[in-house]
Formats: sequence, structure tokens, C-alpha cells
Amino acid sequence: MSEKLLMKGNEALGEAAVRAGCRLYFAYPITPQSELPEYLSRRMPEVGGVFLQAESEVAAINMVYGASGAGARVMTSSSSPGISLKQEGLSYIAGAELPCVVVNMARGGPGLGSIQPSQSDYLQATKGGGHGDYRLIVLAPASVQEVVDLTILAFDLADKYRNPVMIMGDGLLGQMMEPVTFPDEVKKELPPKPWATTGWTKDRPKNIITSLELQPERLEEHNRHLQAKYAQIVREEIRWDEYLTGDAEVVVVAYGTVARIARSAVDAAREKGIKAGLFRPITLWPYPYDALGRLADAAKNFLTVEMNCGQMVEDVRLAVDGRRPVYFYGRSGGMVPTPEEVLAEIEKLA
Amino acid sequence: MNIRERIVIFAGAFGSGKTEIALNYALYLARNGQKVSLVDLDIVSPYFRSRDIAAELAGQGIEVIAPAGELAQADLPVIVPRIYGALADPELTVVIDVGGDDPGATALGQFSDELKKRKYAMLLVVNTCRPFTRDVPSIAKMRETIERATHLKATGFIANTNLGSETTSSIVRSGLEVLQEASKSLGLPVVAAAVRADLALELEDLEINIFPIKIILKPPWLRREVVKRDRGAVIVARENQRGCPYQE
Repeated sequence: MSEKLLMKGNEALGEAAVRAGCRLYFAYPITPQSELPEYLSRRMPEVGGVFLQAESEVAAINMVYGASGAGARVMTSSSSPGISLKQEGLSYIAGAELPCVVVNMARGGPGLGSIQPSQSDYLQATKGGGHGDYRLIVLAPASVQEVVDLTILAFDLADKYRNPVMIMGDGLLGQMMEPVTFPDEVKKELPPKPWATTGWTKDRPKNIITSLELQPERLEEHNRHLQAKYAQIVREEIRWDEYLTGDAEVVVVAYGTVARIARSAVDAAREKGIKAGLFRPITLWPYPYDALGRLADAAKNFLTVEMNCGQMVEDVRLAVDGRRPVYFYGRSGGMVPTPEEVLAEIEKLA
Repeated sequence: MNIRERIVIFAGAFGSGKTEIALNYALYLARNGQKVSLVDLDIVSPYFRSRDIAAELAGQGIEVIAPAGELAQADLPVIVPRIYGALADPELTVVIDVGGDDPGATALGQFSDELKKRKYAMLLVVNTCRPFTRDVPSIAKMRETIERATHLKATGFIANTNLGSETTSSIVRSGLEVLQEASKSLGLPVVAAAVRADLALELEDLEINIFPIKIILKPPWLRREVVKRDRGAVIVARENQRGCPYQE
């Protein structure tokens, strides 16, 4: 289907998963991502897949563990409070090196918070969330088309690295409608997964999937193996986007929908003769430290804009490494910054 | 768009554009001196709802009937009793913005007895660029499931084929063709085509009522009008930013 459709971010994500060959989806509804289970409840039966509304988020993530262990392309989704419930499962999945895609269309927190959009799960997604030394690959789309492209990429990265991949969106991205196209053909040939528990045969040793390793020497060895894999991901998978950064004196750093707002503010600043630019991380982990740090050669200062009280700004400071001042502007609780507010902050720094 | 009935219901598939059309229709009526109540009966969408701009609509003399206070922001199927009063008031034009698909339309079902006592128009908004109403059989299914959920009969279609910011007049035309085919096969008239105001001129030749609309509920980066080098456009954009964004 090369024809364009008008879709919500949540719906487009569901269709992209189907196109990527995902046939198993387990989740529990929560605003503002419920259009995704709603869409897949219609779509999965049409393609011979399984949509299952689990009894809880905890159950859903463990169903993902099981299906992924059996070699399937599998996805779950939720919004902030539900993602917190999934953290134990995510740690097990990362430890057992199982590929899967987990979607967070984040909402205001902490606690039950509100149903309005937020980016306040950045630290949870990129610095852990669950226990143990593990990493999720975290992709942050900024448009409905990018939701589609990054969802398909997420399944490929998950399989390539045998690692859970998170799509980090927010309620606004899930709810807004934009024109999208999908790749024409559904990929049917999935990469071989010789490690999967597909039933014992005599021609290979038993496949065992577990995150339990009682011998400390062996667990340390496993951790070294995981760290080597994460180092490879850092080398090969960093993605970002730059807009008018070439001569920028004020570099705005923002991801997801906030990058759309920031871009609008950068345009307005340029109209006023202010040399502003936008740096947009697409992978939140691995973070584009080097690419962002390079901008410190020419920029006067950095402005991080987030829909939270200041989370990614810690990574921006690491990237800039004290060479230039790093400022922060944020709205939280479900409040969305406006382009005018961001412009006012840029003007203060120009 | 001339609809005779005092009670006008916009229903249809999820994301078909019911809210934008209901808002534009309510504003159109208010501009023409009518006393208007807009019922936000959407129990499924958490964002981009009529109630989000209740204060601005009140400024245009439109009463917004929706859950009040904190409940306006809750993902709860709250239905307010004031709807009964509005339906019974012969002085009022009542515009009802229904939630999408049959689950959204279910909320309207509880008013079916009240509505059947009176004359109403129930218009199904159809965008053929949406995933589940792209052809005649899926449009027929949408109509059937919504009529079952509401216990009401649809009285017509509103064509609303669009691709958001990428809409062209040829997209509008091709969508209208599909809907006219559905109209013939289902025996339900196409009452009007809702068209973004800037495309209306290109579609004047269509033998159908054109209802020019302005997109009201936008993500924050689109609220700032696109300023082009065209001087006329710059002036229009400035005017729009200055005044109430919902006035023409």
C-alpha cells in the first residue's frame, strides 16, 4: 500500500507492527494509547495474528517474554503507569536477551498523574527502570510517519541485537492525525532464531531461556557479554536529526513532539534574525553525545526543552561537557510548551 | 450547509472529522444569529475534543454541554443531564458531536427515545482516507454498527475526505466519488462536502453543497500560522493570530 492514509499515531504504530511481521500483541488498555489495542483488535484477526487483552500490564509483558522466547515478533504497549508495571518483566527480557518491542505513549506523572502528554519517563526508559545492568534501545519518533518507520526499525533492531526496543512517544503523538504511507509488502521472512525454544529436536542442544544465573562468575561473564553488545549498539545505532545547526548560536535540544514545537520556535527566531538551530535525538539510548558535543565548538549556548521537569538535560550536559552553558525549559503534568514560550526562552539567550 | 432540523447529530467512524465539522457548524450557526448548544458527547477521545475550547466557544455565544471541571479531563464516560433540557428547548439549535465508531456512538443511544419524539438529522461523517471507511462495504458496515449502537437511523452523509495538511482538491474529489457510490447503494443522501476553506474555490464545479471549514483543534506547532514570503499571506496570518482564531 503506497497510498496515503490519515491516521493517528497509535493506529499507525499498530499497522506498522503488522507490516513488520508482528503477529502477537499483548496489552492492557490505558489512555492515551488505547487506540493501539483497539486498532490491533481489529487488524490482528485479519492477518491471522493474535490480539490478547491481558489481565494486567504485568501479565502482558510476561506473555511477551514467552512469545519472544519462542521466536515470534511480539509487541506490547502502554502509557506511563502501565510501563512502570512492566519494568520487572523488561529486566528479565533484557537479561534473557529476548527481542521485543515495547511502546510507551507517555502521560503526565508521577503516580496516576493525568491523561495529557508528557516526557517524564525519559530517565526510566534510558537509565534503567528495572533492576540490573541492562539497556533498552529507545527510539523517539516526532511525526506519525516516523512512528511507522521507527516501529519497523524497532523490530529489526530487536532481532539483530536480541534486545528489547522501546518506542518512546507521548499522548500527543499517539492522538494526533497525520498522513502516512506504509511499506508495500509485509516482511514474511524473519531472521533465523536458532536460540528460540521451538520444541526439542535431537539435532541441536536444548535451548534454555532464563535470566537466572546462580554462579557469580557466570553471571559476571553474562554481564560482560551484555556490555559488549551495548557497546556495539552505541557504535552502530545512534540516530539524530539537525535543523539549521550549521551557524546556530542557540542550539535547542528536544525530542519527539516537543522537537516539532521547538522547530516552530526556531523558525520564528530565525525570522527575528536570531541564529537558532535544533538538535533532535532520535535514539534516546544510545544517546548522540558526540554529535551534540560537536555543536559546542560554534554554539554560544544550549537550551533543552522537555515536557518534564528536566531529565534529558542531564544527557545534554554530559554531551556539552561544561564547554558551554546548558539551559532548560520545561512544562510538566500534561501541560504542553507552546512555540511562543520556547521562542521567549531562545530570545533570552540570543 | 443548510440543515432544516433543529437537532443535528454528527456521528461516524473514529477520526472521521466529526468534531471539526460540529465545531465549524456550531460557529456557522452562531454567526448567523442562532442560539446554539454544542453537545460534546465524545466518550472515547482523550484529546482534540470540543470541550477543549469551551471558553472560546462561550465567547462566541455557544453553550458547550460537556462534563465540567476535573471531569472534562478524565477518561470516563460522563454524560451530563443538561442534554435532556437542551433537546427539549424549541429555541435552541443543538449540535451533537458524537464519539467515534459504535463504542463512541453508544453514548447517544440513551437519548434515542427523546430524539425519536423530535425531528433530527443524524449525519455520518466519512473520510475515505481513514483506514476503516475506504470503500462502499466498509462504509455500509460503519453505518450499520452506528445505527445499531444508537438505536437511530442515519439521515445522510457528510463527505470529509482529507489527508490533513496534504489534502488536495483531487483527494476531495476521489473521496466524494466513493461516498456517492455508497450513497446510491445505501439510499442515503450526501448532504454536503466539508472542505478546508482554502480548497473550496477549486471545487465550486461540484454539484453538491460545499461546507467550507477551518481546522480548529491543532497540535501546538500548527497553531502558529505558516508565514510565507507572500505578503498577503503574512498579513492574513498576523490577523489570525491577533483575533479570535475561530472567527472568519
